[in-house]
Amino acid sequence: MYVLIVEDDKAQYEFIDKTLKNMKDVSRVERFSTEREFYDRFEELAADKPDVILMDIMLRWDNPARQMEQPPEKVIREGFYRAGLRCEKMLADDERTANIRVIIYSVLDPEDLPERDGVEFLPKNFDRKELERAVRR
Amino acid sequence: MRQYEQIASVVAEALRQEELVGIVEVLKHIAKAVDAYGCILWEVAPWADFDSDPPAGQLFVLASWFDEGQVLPLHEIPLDGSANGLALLTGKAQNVRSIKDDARTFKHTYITDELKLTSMCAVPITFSEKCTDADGERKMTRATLSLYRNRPDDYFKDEEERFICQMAELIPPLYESIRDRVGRILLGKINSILDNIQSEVEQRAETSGDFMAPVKEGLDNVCREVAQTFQAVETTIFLEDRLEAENVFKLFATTWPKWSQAKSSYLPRKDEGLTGWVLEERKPVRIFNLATFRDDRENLRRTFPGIQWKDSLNIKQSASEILELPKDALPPLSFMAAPILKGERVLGAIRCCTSRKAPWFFVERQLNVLTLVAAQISRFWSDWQKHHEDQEENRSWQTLVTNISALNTNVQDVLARGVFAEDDLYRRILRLAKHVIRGADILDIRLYDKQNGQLYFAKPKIGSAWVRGSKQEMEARAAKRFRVTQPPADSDPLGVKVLFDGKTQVVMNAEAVSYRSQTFPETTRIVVAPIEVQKDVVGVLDVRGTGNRPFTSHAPRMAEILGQQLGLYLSLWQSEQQQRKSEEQQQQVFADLWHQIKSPVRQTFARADSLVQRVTSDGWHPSDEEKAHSIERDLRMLRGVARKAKRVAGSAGVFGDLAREGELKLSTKSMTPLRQGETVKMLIEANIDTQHALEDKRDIRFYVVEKSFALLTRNTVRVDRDFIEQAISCLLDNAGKYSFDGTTVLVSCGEVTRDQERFVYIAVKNEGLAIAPGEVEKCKERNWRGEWAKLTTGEGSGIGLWVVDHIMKAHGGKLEVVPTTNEGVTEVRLLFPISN
Repeated sequence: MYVLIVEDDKAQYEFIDKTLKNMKDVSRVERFSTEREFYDRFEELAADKPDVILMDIMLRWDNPARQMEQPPEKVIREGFYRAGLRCEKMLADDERTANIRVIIYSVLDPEDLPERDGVEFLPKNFDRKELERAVRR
Repeated sequence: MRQYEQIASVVAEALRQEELVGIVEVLKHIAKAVDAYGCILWEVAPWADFDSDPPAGQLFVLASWFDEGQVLPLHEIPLDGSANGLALLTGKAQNVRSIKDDARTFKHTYITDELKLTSMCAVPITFSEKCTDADGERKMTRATLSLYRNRPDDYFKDEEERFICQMAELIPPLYESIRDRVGRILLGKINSILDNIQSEVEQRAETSGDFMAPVKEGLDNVCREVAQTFQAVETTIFLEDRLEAENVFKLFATTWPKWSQAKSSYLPRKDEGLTGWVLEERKPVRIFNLATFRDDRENLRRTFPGIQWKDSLNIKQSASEILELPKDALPPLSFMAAPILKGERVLGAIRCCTSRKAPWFFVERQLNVLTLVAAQISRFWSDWQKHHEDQEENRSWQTLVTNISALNTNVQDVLARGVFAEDDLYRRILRLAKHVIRGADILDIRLYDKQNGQLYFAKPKIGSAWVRGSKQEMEARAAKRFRVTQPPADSDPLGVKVLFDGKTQVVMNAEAVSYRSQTFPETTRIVVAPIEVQKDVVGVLDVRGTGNRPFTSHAPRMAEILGQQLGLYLSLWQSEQQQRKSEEQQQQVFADLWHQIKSPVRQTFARADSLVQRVTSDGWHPSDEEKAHSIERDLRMLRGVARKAKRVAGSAGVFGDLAREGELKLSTKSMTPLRQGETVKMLIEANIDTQHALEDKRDIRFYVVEKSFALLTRNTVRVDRDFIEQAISCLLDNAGKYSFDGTTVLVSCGEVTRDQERFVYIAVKNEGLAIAPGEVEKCKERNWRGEWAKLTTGEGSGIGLWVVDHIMKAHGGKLEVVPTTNEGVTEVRLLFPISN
């Protein structure tokens, strides 16, 4: 199984990464660490589809750099609070990626999130067993 | 009857008379006393010239009596060529034994063939009233009394002539006494009528609400009494109703039968006619005969400069129809008018025209009485106007208060629901202004665009002037903007001036001060009041009148109040919005803090649990290097996560303290000296934790300049350790978040003087997102984050530096942010006061 982690926090990523790499049925783990990286590598993702995407909700747009491009207007308007949902919508709107299994993995309460068909939710409790079960389902 | 008895009888008769026509009764008594068939009282017309050769001028019949009640179709005879004229010229009685044969007499067929008068005696008399002669001088009015017989060979004997002269001497005082009495009676009646109007008004107002009807009825009665007293065909009253239109004098009451054809209003201008002259000049006028106005024009203009009259009604034709007399048998179409004044101000005019019976024309004394009537009307009308204005003002204030009360309730409801619609509010204010400010025809609100320095029209507007012209013209008018200059020029619109000094501008008469509006040239009056929000003038309420309907004296105050009220509503809405935003931000801060702390708290537990599991269940020996390294790494991660949790929890604590108390207070017991060794150790460990929290590939390093901390051995700085760790943790976290990849964050210690006070500082310097000079203070504001900062962090509440600023203030120190240099280096310093 190829799992893509979309997560900007190093500590949280390491926890997830360690958990997944301990799973025998997970052969490959990749990571996108910012929303910008997700946009930039979307075609790559569409061409080489993961089996599961573990998606954090609150993602920063990019790392600080000396020359930075202006992000899309909706990113400025909506902010980082809904970055993961924007990424998930990109996947759903593209027929190449619409069928990829997406697990929203977040500390936010599910009531705060809009409901979407085909999108699963897993609370970020840092419970390895729970994470493993969710990925395998 | 003996002569003195006859004289007494005449006097008694005169004293009985309460009407001007009573002079006819006096003439009758005189005629009967000398067994005459008839008697005529003649008066010399104005501008008679006795000195010219031959003498010029006419004598007019003032009153006459004949035994069979005949009314003379003849009204005038010449001075020259009549016995009456000769009597005046010689100053002696003219006793004519045969009218037909005597060369002195004026021959008229009615006298000789109809009345068949045979003899006459004409006696000169003088009235005390003044009249204008040919030289324009005012002299006593001259008249004659002539008596007639119609029996052949029956002429007045010398003794009778002497008696007639005696009787004639009575005429002036008796006639004057009649006129005085009649005048007094008239004034009494007018007083009574005017007094009754008020009680009528009060009665009617309770029932029908029409309080003008009794006023009009009362003034109609005044006209009737005056007309009856002066025996005038027409008596008309013109008045200015200031509540409707200024300087326009409308017909309020008249006895003129053809009133619908008459001019219904006048402006105070000579070119408007005789009444216009009276209104402009504020002087009375008396014209002997309108029928000869054109011939007498020169003389009239000498007495009444600039007087004009157009005879739009064809006065001779109208008088002929009303009096049922042929045009050549009309009496003088006499006219008199008096202004109705209150001090210098003209309130209206009263005029009379054309006597319908003897005395056949108006004399000076009647004009004096008319002037007194005008004074009575003036008192009544000015009181009435004042009362009416006061009532209207009271009604307006009541309406204003009631409507503002309703508006307050509406705004309260709107604020509570958070659905404030400015256009709707503006519309309500404008409608209320139109309702309470009498004469308001064009209303709008102009708002200040601070950025562009212009005043522009808010969308809601009232007044037909707004929809004047083509669609393009309307759009151009609505889109018009007014440049705001500080200070404003004299030629700037009033709204700009109000914006500058916040004072209401008023022009009650545009013509008088040569005010001209380019946008609304029809403006005749204007009030512009400021709209203030928290002491800033944010716009103006512009109220204009067109036409003659004046603003009331309280209009400026009402506009001010409406402007203030609107400003208050806008201010409330602003405060409400700020409050909502603040509450939302607070809620968001707590939500962010909760989110930030949830994860590290859960991680901390998970890692600690995992470590315990590995040590207890997996079994581990201290010599297992790989496992030891892994455990050490996990412990460092654990400490890093715990440090973050501690920092976030600390921020939440400070946030809560500040929200409650408004400031952070430190206990002196918690303050300890900052020591070099401990401080460096704390900083190094904080650096390590912060570095570990960042992605390895970003290659951001942290370095403590240890030697610089030797300053702490020479200077005592007392701190609350927990808070200072909190502050340093925040600065390092920021440096980690905002530094560019591949850079080094430096932590050092230094010394600085600010405002003659020495400080020791701990500085964190990095290369990363810039802080501009203008943002140096902003970044200490609660919830403020730079635009790029928002994009490069996935979490955070924007309160970090705000918390640090309060921590430093609580220490008596400062948070100092040095803006990013050209080399891209930003430095943030914690300044501590030196204790020693």
